[in-house]
Amino acid sequence: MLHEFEYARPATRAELHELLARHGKAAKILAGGTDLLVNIRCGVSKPAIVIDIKKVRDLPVIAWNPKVGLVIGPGATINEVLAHPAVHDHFPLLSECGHDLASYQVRNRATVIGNVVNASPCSDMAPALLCLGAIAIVSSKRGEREVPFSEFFTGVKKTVLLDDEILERIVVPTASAGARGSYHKLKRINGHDLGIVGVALMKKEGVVALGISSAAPTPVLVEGIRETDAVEKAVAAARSATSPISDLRCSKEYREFMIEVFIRRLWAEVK
Amino acid sequence: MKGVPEALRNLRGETAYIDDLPEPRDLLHAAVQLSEGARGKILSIDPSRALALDPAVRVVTAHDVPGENQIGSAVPDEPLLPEGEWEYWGQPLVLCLAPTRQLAREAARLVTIVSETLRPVLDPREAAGQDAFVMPSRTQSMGNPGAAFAAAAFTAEGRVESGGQEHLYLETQGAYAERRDGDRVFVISSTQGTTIVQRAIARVLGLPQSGVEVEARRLGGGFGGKEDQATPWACLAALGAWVSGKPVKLYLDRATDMRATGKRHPYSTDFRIAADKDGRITAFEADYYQNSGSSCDLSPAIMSRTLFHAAGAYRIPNLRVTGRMCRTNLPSFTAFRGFGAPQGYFVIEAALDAISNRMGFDPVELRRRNLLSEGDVTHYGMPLKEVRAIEAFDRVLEKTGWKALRADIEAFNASHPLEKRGAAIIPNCFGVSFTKLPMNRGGALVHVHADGSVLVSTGAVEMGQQVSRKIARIAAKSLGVPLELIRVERTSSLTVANTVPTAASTGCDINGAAARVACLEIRDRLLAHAATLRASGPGLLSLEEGRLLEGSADTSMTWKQLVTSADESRVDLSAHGYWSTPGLFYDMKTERGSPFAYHVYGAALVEVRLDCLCGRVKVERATIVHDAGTSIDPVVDLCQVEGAFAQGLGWALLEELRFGADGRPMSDNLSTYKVPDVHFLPARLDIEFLSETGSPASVLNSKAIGEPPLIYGIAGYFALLEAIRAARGDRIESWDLPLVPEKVLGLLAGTGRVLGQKDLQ
Amino acid sequence: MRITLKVNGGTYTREVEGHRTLLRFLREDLGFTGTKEGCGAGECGACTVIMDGKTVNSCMVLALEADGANVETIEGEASAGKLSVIQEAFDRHHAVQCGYCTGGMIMSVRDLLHRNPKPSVEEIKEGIEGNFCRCTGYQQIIEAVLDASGQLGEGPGQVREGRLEHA
Repeated sequence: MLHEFEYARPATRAELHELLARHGKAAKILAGGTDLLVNIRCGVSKPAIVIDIKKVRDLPVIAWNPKVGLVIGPGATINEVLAHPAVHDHFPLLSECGHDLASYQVRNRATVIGNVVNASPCSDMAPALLCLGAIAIVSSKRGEREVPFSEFFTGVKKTVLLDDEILERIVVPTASAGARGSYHKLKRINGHDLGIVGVALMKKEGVVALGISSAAPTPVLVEGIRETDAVEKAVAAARSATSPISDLRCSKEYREFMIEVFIRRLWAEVK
Repeated sequence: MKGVPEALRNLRGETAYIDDLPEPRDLLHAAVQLSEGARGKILSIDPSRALALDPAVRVVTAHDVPGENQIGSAVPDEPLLPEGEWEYWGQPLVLCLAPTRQLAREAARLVTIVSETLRPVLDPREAAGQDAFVMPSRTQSMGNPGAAFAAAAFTAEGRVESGGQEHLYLETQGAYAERRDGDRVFVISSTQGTTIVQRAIARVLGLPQSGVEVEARRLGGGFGGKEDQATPWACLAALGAWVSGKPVKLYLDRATDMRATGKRHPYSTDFRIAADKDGRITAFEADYYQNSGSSCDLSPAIMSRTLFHAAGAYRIPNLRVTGRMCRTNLPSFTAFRGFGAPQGYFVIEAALDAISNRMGFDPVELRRRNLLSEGDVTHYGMPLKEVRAIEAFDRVLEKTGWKALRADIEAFNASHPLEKRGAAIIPNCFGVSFTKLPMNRGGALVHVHADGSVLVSTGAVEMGQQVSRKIARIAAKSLGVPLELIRVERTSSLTVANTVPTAASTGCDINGAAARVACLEIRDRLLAHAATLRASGPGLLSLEEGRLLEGSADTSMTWKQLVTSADESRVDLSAHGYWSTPGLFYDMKTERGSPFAYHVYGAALVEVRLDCLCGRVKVERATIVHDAGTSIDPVVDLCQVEGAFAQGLGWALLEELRFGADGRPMSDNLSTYKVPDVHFLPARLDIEFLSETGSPASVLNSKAIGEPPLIYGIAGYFALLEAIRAARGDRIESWDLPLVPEKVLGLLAGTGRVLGQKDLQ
Repeated sequence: MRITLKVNGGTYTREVEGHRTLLRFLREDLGFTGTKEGCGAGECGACTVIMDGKTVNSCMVLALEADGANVETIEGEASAGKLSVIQEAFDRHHAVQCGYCTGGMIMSVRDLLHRNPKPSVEEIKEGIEGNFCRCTGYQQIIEAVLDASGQLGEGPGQVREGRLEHA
């Protein structure tokens, strides 16, 4: 049962920007709705207006351009991204993270951009995007700006997005194409569950990056590690970059331990 | 003539559960405001903000109750709506009615309740320390445990914890009510027991029971959660209909259901066990602290079943067990498949685990050596007949090739430092009958129509366990007609009165038996009529698959012809059948008697594989050998074994019911409370039934199936414990269920060495 | 707002409020009550329907989002009173107990078999991992899917005999 709100369905990017400019904080963008509608239902989110962007015709969808990279638009669902040949060929880490998100029918609605904009510490897509050096391209009536994902998250459920802005597209740069990587997610059941801890590890051209979820107020990127380093360096770097807490799902200590286990396993697995 | 069988309607999405029924134009939806705080006192209730929403909104409080504001069935400790203090976080405080569900829920939210918070008690031992019990404690004993402990070669003791469990029936609680003719009500309730609901509504509205018609359609799952816990919602809907004069529907959303309703009782138990030098258990003692929650509900009956199953499937000559039912400020814990037996089983299995460790004795051999056998007498004085504990256990050993399997597991564990396998075998001996003796009766109404079609209505509520299908088979067999002539209808107080809830695994036993009584009565009348037609003795005639036989020869007369003829000759083609389980007696003073019609036996092996660094476990296989008597429907029984095992395994390894330190319910949706999904169950699940013996256990020599197989899930706990021990290289003891990954890691980490770099590589 | 959509082949035009979910719209406005609410949060899958060829949790879709869409629910699974292959297999294998999860479960299976006509057991598990069943141990459901996809032989113990004549 949802509280009452106004529903808008802009047809163009300009209309969308106009609506966002007009309603600001009172507006919520609806793409997949798998987080938003649950949040509205349980009273966490109380927008006066919900702006459905699925009919906006001039927003990007999913495209692969060897010069730019992989472009993911705000309507692109997890399953659409997983099914895209460029993702399969060049960004296997994205596939792995996407595959671990919720259930098949949720992935049919949930979008990659929605998953990161929701800015949950346990986001499944953020670890891959962080590792792959993805860029968030944010737009509003006032224009566009680029934000690297490493700077995108500012706190629990908080991002750099201003009230009139939308995360219009994610660009995963060509430079990250072909990176080897894998994702380990700790859950209570093998199927649909939120992550207790998630660790993505990427290796490319001697450089190692880690993306870690559910271990700090925001998903965390750990950089500055090389393949030639000992795994202990990665573990130590992850430890200083994260600050897990105890909650309903598990304790701080279990999270800390699992991050280390996953890093060590990924270190060995990702050749 | 053929109706669409209910299961087919189900496959087509056509079954009408309560929330699917067409809504009358003037329907009011109902919603409740739940208490925020584990214990508090209402100082004032101000409905003005809710009433301001819409002129059609109505706020109903305790003051609107025309009869007695009380629904506690055993003890009057459950006001329908509290007037002063409330007792747990999530207790319904006021009821709101409105033309839409949205509006009703909004109104319920807006009622202003000024309250004072009081200090809650959440821990059963703390409650016991304050003498806060829902009922006086109860002790069963036999032999001389004190002397046996003094003389024992080995003793062990320990503490066992088992957690609560949410039913998570997929259909949440709900009810629909209409006030009819000014002075009576009609209610459709998602209840396992129409009479419980009828009685409570009569009490609350101040009506005779005859003025309360209650119907139960197919439920979207029950598992005990709708035995007593359907009552408040049905009463609230009826109260709403009574005061408003309009039809009212109350349907809970998941969070409200999970916060407001009772679950399986958590237990905390201290035990002591003794054995002689040959590994024979000589004595056992246990003190069970049952967390009964905020009200009495079914807690004493559940404790009764715990005590009766204290010795599990084992012969223990000296025993003393005491059950304390502790009142706390948590939801009123209630019936859940197994009804106290699983909690008792877990303790005795923990005790056997402990003593086998103390003795250095193989746990499987120790269990086998102490199994019940023919002629053994239980600690409550019941001689056991047709005991099949050893037969089932040995069959599991044989089917799994236990010796080779154990060697294989040991070899695997020796070569895999970070992965360990473990296996355990648990026996089963489950007593069938309501532990409250007067409840062991069933009722049925059978109509044979002039066209030959048959309608059966009983006290059994269909909730997915296929009791209707079994009763249809019993009716067809008893009448001697083809199955497709039988239609089993929903349960209604108009057709069968004074029913007992469909619970304690007895739904088919007692209601099937009652249906059989009625069917046999009609059959006998028909055969008597046939005898006059054919100038034959009724003893020579019989009915089989819709044909009239004389001796073994087919007469040319069909069932339909016989029925038509009998109807025209004014033979009564309807009958009411009543069944009261024979041979039951119990003396509460001496705690001796024969409280069960029979016992169900079985055994199961569960094997798991542990990822030692994550604490994660995969249940690899389960082999179950189970005693279903002469099954009325082996496929239905198979499905029941699987489903019960899944719930037992979920209870043992996964489902973690949590409350905050302030009593706040923390498991109130499917994201915070996980139940087994399709990945959780073992890939290899092998279920075998013991051979039929033809012993007259219950109707058509069948045995109850609903609850007993849940016990097998406990084997999962001990299998995992063995895997943990293999990783540690010792016999660590911990009996704290559910054994979730974090607890597993805690046990693995307690080796005295930190799981560090060396282990991780 | 006014929306027009197809449900099980029929076209419906209705006025609908912005906050109405597709689930409530199907159940309350159109009377397709075979789709159930089990949790209201996309966790249980009882509300699964197929929208424009994709399974969705209808409790997490606004009715307005289904404007112009083609929606299929459990009520459209049988055609002209004849059970579909999947429904027959569910019946044959007793994959239904209380029935509350069944509608959504069958929608997920239908979608799975559409994408993957011969799924392995692992693929079946993945296909229905978003659908909880509290009554069964999922074994019958997996068997039914294997059967519906023509992957069960006649060997002993593979197809369990018997039909659900009664509830």
